[in-house]
Amino acid sequence: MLKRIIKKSLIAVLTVFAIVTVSFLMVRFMPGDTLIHLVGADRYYELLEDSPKQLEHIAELYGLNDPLWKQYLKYLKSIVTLDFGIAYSNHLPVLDNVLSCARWTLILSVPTFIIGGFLGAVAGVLAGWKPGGAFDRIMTPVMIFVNTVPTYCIGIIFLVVFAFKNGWFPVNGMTNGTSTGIARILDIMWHAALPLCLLVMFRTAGNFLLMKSNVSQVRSEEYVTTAYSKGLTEKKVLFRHVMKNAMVPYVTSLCMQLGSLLSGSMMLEVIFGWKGMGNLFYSAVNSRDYPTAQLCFMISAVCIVAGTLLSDIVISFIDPRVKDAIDEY
Amino acid sequence: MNTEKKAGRAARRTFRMNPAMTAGIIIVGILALTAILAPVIAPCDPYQYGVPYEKPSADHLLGTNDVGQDIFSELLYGTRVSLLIGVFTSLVVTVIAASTALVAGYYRGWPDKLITAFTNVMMGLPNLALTTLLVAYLNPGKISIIISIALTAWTGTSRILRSRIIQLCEMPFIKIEKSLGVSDGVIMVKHLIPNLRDVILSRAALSVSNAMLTEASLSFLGFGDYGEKSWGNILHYAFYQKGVIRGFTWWYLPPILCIALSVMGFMLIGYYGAQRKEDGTDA
Amino acid sequence: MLELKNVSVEFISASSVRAVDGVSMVLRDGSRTAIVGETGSGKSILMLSIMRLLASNAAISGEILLDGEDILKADRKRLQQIRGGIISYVPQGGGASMNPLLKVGFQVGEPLMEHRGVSRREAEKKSIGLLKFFNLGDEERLAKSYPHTFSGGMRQRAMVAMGISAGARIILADEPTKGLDEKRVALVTDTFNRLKDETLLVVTHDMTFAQKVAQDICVMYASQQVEYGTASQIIGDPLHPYTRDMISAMPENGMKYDDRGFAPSHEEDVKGCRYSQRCHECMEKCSEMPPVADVNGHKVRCWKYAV
Repeated sequence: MLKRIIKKSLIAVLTVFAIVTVSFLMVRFMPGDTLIHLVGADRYYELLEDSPKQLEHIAELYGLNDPLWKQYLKYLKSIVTLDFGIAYSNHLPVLDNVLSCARWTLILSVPTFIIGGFLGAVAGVLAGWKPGGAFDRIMTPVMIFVNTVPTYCIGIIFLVVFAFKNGWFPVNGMTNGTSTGIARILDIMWHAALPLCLLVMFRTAGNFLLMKSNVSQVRSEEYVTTAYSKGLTEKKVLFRHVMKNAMVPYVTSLCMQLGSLLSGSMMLEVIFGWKGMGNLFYSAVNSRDYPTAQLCFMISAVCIVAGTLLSDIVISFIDPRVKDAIDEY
Repeated sequence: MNTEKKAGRAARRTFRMNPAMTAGIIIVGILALTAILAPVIAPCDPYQYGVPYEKPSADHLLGTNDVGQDIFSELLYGTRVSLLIGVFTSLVVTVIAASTALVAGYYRGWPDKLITAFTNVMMGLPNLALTTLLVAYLNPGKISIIISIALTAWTGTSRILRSRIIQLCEMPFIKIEKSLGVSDGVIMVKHLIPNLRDVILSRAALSVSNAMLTEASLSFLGFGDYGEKSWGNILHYAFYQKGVIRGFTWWYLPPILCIALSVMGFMLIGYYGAQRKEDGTDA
Repeated sequence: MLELKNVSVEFISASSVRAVDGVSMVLRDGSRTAIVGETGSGKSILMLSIMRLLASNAAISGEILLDGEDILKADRKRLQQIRGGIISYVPQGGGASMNPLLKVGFQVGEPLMEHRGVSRREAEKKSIGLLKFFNLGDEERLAKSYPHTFSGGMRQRAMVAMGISAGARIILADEPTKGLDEKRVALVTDTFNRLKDETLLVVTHDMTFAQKVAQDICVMYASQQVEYGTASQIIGDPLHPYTRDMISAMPENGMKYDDRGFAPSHEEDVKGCRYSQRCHECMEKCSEMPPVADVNGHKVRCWKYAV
């Protein structure tokens, strides 16, 4: 058990290392001058005209004139010391920018995780327990549709219907910027309502399909027949035997979703002008602000790795088969 | 051999009975036809400037955009780009996935360990973010879009194919071929790939659907092939040039429908194609 | 007493398939019966229909009388009382027959909790005693382990323990020797022979095993009951050509076996005797369905004995 966790953690650390290295190499091997990428194209030409000295200083900062391995060491050092440079858009440290956006993303992603995780599980169990029943026949096509159609397509339609046409919800942004205290919280909730609704919808659809297939798979297992043959009530068969087994892959998936809490949905954040991580990444890429884009990318990648690691650990606690498989290792 | 044929016959039987898949094939057929015939059907040249923001009329079935281009013609031409990128990306994805899976699943040992580890690392990367980064920093063009999407999209297919190949290699007919000293290449081409055909095709259809979706997202964000007409691109201008705010339904709704419908079409083929495979082996 | 009267099972889908065709049997209290037949002969389905555990598209006709009460007419609540409380079902001991996430001790004791209102702790304690009864060895540890750590034979014996834990009077066991080697079959045989008071119905394809555990044997072929009598009648004086072929194929008889194809599948519509295609003694009459003949209480479905 412990061995398994240590092994998985080691793999996770190596993966993080690989991700960090990839993002180092990427900017250096992209076509074009590395300095342009690091500073951002507009800013680069601006500086080239106004103060070439500052450009040189920046090149020095990244060690761009040094051999590659020296640059790499420098880069690793800056990562370890959490020094990700200055954003050229607003001259603040990149990390500060990212952290303030992270807060806004969490406002959307945490409720999505909780509500979507709950609703998807409940609806999925209901549909999977009675496949072919009325609930299943109505919900499944709807959920497949929601799951397939691109988020921003439905997003735009929601925006048109609920914000432009009816004016029930704000079109853009996170607050009106003036209210304070409880009014501010309510205002944020009002602004978050539409994107949150959409996110919950999509998450519920994904979770529903997963849970439904889990339950209908477990339902046809032999041990469920065994459970019925003992004279257990439907409820006990469902909760004690079916749900328990169907929850194993579901919990794994929830752990992965936990890992994507910080990533944010780029498409929806852009459409609704929500200044979260996704939007930050979008505008960073758009304005060729590589340090910011890189940090966003690395944070979401590391979180995904952490989520995978978490799911590996959790699964070995809840599934005795996995636990023992490692003891023999 | 006999059982293989039997499974094939059963598969064909269920194929005919599956309305979802037929719907998918019809959608894709219409898309392909539109893409090929776009210059013939299109009433206008989609790059021709004209009077901006015109409402739908006999001249412009879906009105004109912010620089006066005919939206209906744009849509028809957009089919070409969207489909082209979807299909080619899927091709690249399938080739990468099949070759990694063959090496890993057939030879096992250290190549398998290496490929599996690499696949796991790739799966840990946020796909859309990496693709966006690549598209933004590579030289713009269709090829970079195809490469950027394919680089992150092959892992799932590779994993599924690998486990299928491992199963197949345990089957007697492959074992016999191996013990007879038939060369690896012949076994792969003559036995493994034909047996995996259904899985490969259904995964390829799903890849087309995913690639079209990603391409549409990228062009919607403005990272696509600049100046090329694709559905995401039309939607981009509709959104950023106030088409959505002003309620120009004819501008933003058609590309949304096209994207949704085509993604759905390929997904139906892929999803129910995979189910057909399961039915086939069960029968 | 459990009495089956002309039980048929039909699966209704695009085309309906008759999986069990008019089986009648009497299981007196304390008696031991084996149903012998090859894969697909409908024997397991017959057993599941006694438990009413078949999928909803299965239509069961006839009567299954438990001390005069028709199980086929029982409501859900009564069924729950019967299942595990009066009649218990011992599934095949394959890997999937026990819940992989629950400890064996709990699963063995579960019927006790359900039917006798025993607390969880008490039930788990009792299940250790039950495992001891069947000599599993190191029972305390086993009760706290998960099913995947058990071998096939151990799982099968634990499952028998599960079947009798709530004091069910009638035990139905489905292919208990499937996939086990000779040594394990001997252990399972011993397990069943430890049951003294219970009525036993075993489904098996293994005539040798049937001979060792049962007093009565029912032979099934292609959904039909072809021969039904005491073990000594069936083994010592088999009447039906199929039974004879089966007995000569037993290991102790030198496994004489000639391949004349397979039993007709459910889709095939065989008008006459279903064994006629493979039968050595096939007569002209066999193109019609033979009636069930009674030879001194020994029932056989064959024209040779029809009066």
